Amino acid sequence: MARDRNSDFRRRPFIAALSVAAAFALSTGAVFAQEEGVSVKDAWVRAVPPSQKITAAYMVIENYIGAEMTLESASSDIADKTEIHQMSSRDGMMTMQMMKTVTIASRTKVTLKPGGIHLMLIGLKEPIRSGEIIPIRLNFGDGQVVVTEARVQE
Amino acid sequence: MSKRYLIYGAVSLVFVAICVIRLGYGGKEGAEETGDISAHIGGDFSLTDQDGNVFNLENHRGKIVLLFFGYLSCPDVCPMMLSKLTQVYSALPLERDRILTVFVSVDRERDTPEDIKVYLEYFNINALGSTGSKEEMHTLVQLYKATYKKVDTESAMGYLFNHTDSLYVIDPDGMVRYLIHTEDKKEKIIKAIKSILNENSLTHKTALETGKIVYVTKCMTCHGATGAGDGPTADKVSPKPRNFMSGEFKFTSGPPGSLPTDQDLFKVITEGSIGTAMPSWAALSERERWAVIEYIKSLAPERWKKEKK
Repeated sequence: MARDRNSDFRRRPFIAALSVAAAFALSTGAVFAQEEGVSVKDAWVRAVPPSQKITAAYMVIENYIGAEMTLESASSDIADKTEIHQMSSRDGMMTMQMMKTVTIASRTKVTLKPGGIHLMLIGLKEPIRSGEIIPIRLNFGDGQVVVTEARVQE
Repeated sequence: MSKRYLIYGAVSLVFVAICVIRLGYGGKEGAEETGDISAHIGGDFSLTDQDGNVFNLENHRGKIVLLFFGYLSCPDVCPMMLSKLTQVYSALPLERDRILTVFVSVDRERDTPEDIKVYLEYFNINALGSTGSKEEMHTLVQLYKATYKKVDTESAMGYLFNHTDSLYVIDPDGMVRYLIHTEDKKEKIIKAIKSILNENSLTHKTALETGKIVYVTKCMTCHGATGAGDGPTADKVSPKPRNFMSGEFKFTSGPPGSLPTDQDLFKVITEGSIGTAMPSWAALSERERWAVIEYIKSLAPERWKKEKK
C-alpha cells in the first residue's frame, strides 16, 4: 500500500502534465466543434419589452459528424437560467414543454425556431435591446462547447 | 360488345370520380377562402382592462376586434403573435383606428394590469389588455370555445400554460369571422382585415343611412339640414356650429388645417367640446357615432377625397 502511494506520488508531475493537456484540449473544443462536430449559426434572441424577465433564443444547429449529437444544456450571462423548451400545437391548443436534451442526428440539422424548439432565457438580469449581441454557451453530450453570438431582434 | 360497355363504364366512372373529387376540393377551397367559421363561436363579453375601465364588446361595433389569449411570461408564441400584429398595424396606417386588439391574459396570478400595460405599449398597437375576473373568463372561454390550462413543470418558471393559440378576428358586427393560428403569416391577418373592411365599404351605404337618421335627429337643429352650420338654433349659440360643407375642422390630431381622423371626430362627438354648445353624445351607441361620422364626411365629399385620412 505504502509503496503504491509512493509511486502515485512520483507519478504526480505526469498527472499534472496530463491535466494541462486536457484543459488545453477542452479550451479548444469550441474550435473543433466549429470545424468538425457541430456548427451553430443564425442565432437570435427575441427583443421583449423592458419589463419582461423572460425571452427566447433561436438558432440552427448542424451536426457534421457520423454520430448523433445531443444538446445537453445552455447558458448565458444575461439570464439566471437557460432551459430548452418546445412548443407544439395540438387541436388549436398551444403547449410548451421542457426538454432535457435536443438530439441532432448524424449529418442533419435542427432548427430552433418560433413555435418550435427554443432556448428559454429565464430571469433576465437587465433589459435587452435590439441589435445587442448576446453570447450563448451550448454544451453538447460529448463535452463539446460552442459559444454562439445571438443578435437581439424583433 | 360487352368489352366496349365495360370500357365506357370504366371511363364514365373515372369521369364521375374526377367530378366528385373536384367538387369536394372546390368546396373545401371555397370555405378556406372566405374563412367563415361556424356561427356558434363568439358573442358579446365584458372585461376590465389594464386601466380599470370596463370593456364591452358590444360597445365596439364598427371596429374590427382581434381577440387573443396569452400570458406575459410566454416567451415564444405570444410575443410572436403580438409582433406580427405590430406589422399588421403598420401595414394598415389608415385603418389602425378601426382595429382593436384585445389581449386576454390567462395568468391572473403573475400578470398585473400595470405589467400588461407596459407590455402592450411596447408593441405599438391599439390594444387593450385584461386578466379578467374568474366569471368574465369563464363566460369568454365558453363563448369562444377557447381553452387554457395551468401546467406545473420542472422549469425555473414554475408553472406554464397551455392555451388556445387562435387569434379571433371579430367583424364590426361582433361576429367571429376568421381564426388565425401561430404559424399563419401576417399577410393572412391583413387579408382578413381588408376583406372585412371591403365588405364594410359595401355597407358604407348602411352607415350613411344610419348616420343620416342620427344627423337629422341629433345634429341638424344646430348644424343645419345641409351641414352648412345654419340650423334653426345656430343663431342662438356662440361660437357658431361647425360648417361641415367647408370641411374645415378645429380639432385634428394632425397639423393645423388638416382634416381630422375618424378617431378625432369620434372624440369630439363622444366628449363634446368645452366652451361651445356641442354636447357629449356618449349616449349614442358607438355604432351610431361611427355612422354619423360617415354621414358628416359625405357633406364635403371633395375635401375628404382630396385629403384622404
